[in-house]
Amino acid sequence: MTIFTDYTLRTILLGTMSLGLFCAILGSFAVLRRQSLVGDTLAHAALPGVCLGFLLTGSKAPLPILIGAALTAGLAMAWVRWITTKTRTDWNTALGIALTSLFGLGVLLLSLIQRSPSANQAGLDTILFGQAAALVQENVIAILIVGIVATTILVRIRQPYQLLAFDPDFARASGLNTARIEFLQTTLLVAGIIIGLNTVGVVLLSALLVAPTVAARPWVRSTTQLLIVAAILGLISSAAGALISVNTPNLPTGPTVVIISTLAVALSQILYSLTHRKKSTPEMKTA
Amino acid sequence: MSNSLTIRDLTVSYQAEPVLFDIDLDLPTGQLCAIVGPNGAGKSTLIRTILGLQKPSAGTISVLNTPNPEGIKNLGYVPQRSSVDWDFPTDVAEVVLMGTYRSLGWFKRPGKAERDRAQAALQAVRMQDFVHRQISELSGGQQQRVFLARALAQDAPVTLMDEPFAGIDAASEQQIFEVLQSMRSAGKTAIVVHHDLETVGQYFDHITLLNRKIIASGPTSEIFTPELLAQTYGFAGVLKP
Repeated sequence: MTIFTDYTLRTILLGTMSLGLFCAILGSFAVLRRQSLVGDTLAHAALPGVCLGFLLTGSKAPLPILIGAALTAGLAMAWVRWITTKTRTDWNTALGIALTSLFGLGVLLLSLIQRSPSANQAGLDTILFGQAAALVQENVIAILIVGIVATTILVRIRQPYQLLAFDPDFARASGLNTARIEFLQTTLLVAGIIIGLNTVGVVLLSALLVAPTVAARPWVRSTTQLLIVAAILGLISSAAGALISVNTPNLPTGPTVVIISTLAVALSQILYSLTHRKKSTPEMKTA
Repeated sequence: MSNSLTIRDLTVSYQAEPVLFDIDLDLPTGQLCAIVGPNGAGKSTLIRTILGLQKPSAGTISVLNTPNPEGIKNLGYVPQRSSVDWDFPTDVAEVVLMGTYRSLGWFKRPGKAERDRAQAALQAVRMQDFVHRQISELSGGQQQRVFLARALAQDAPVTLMDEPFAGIDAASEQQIFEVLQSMRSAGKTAIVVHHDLETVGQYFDHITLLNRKIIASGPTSEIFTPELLAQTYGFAGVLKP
């Protein structure tokens, strides 16, 4: 096995695995709250920010690009909230509006950048689908630092967050600052998106946030178990996807990881329906 | 004696369409108070407005003479059982513990004091043997008792309950009524949205008849009359003497 000695392979594997692990945890509560589309919206909305970061600085230096990504993603959520409170548009429609329009703007900016004579822009379009092969050690360190900080925050606030996910009315009525938790949720999802931009890209990223939780969901008995099982599934699917793609010519890592994660969801659902015949309890149907 | 709840000139609208008009209401402390009215009368809206979940377009609300939003701290809450996803991955102990979060900060975990409070609440609704049961494995009556225990763990002087007797078995209904009686003995107030006219006279000390506005409010013996019920429900057919 060259995996443990070869710098490139080790970097790809480490980066992808830690990304799978952190994104699984960061996306878990959004899925529990039936807000799976939020991650997708934030990821797509990051694209115009990446382009603006590049246009303003004229370089692919990571910091301005990541700040731009976080800004437009955050802006998208503020816009979604504005739409749902000021108009009769429902939540998912508002997310769809923000997702498509900001992604459209991003694609527009990207093609503008690509037509410019600057040689610097080469490779900026990998932000769409990611390019794990181009990962360097600094990327992996950044993924680890941001990932550890973000998941630690999520684990620390998981009790009020769990209450908000289970019973938002009760959470609000017991004086919980739900707006602050909403804001933190967005921030943590954006953190997951930022660390995934290089590896998986904006288009497919939400699969890493959503799939592990969906696969873990039928098997767990508590949110703590959910976080643990989803994290393990995220780690394993990313590792498997990365290993398959580096050992197969012309197989991009990001999409391979996403397909493996989706297969894990299908496998989990099939196994569950085979082992658990649905028993309907008549009394519970009265609710 | 002070009022548990005081409402003045309250109007509540959904999307510019008024649901509750000109609500003036005084409820006593230490009694079991029912809010009764037909479907669509605005009973849940009234409860949600008192809890600060729905913004009124006009009017003031005070709980134990403390104006909202500060007054909301005096309130416990039992939401409608159908308002949550009972497949959520959690157990009875965790749900009841949620009742203690108000007294905890953001990053503080529930400690022994909170766990004891939750345990006592579970005992009060006779669900102590179900501590580690998944909430998806509970019957409707057991789910309702878990919600009641969570409200008891809130340890609030006034508790709002939205249809706690809806769709449950007779044994659970009896147990819930016993818990309400012991709350009253402890000097606490329960304000309960109730739909069953057959039991309302027997369970409650005080009745408020509501249909978009207050029809009547007072001691059960004065309010629970065929005339006022007919006025609330719009026709005499619902009445059984």
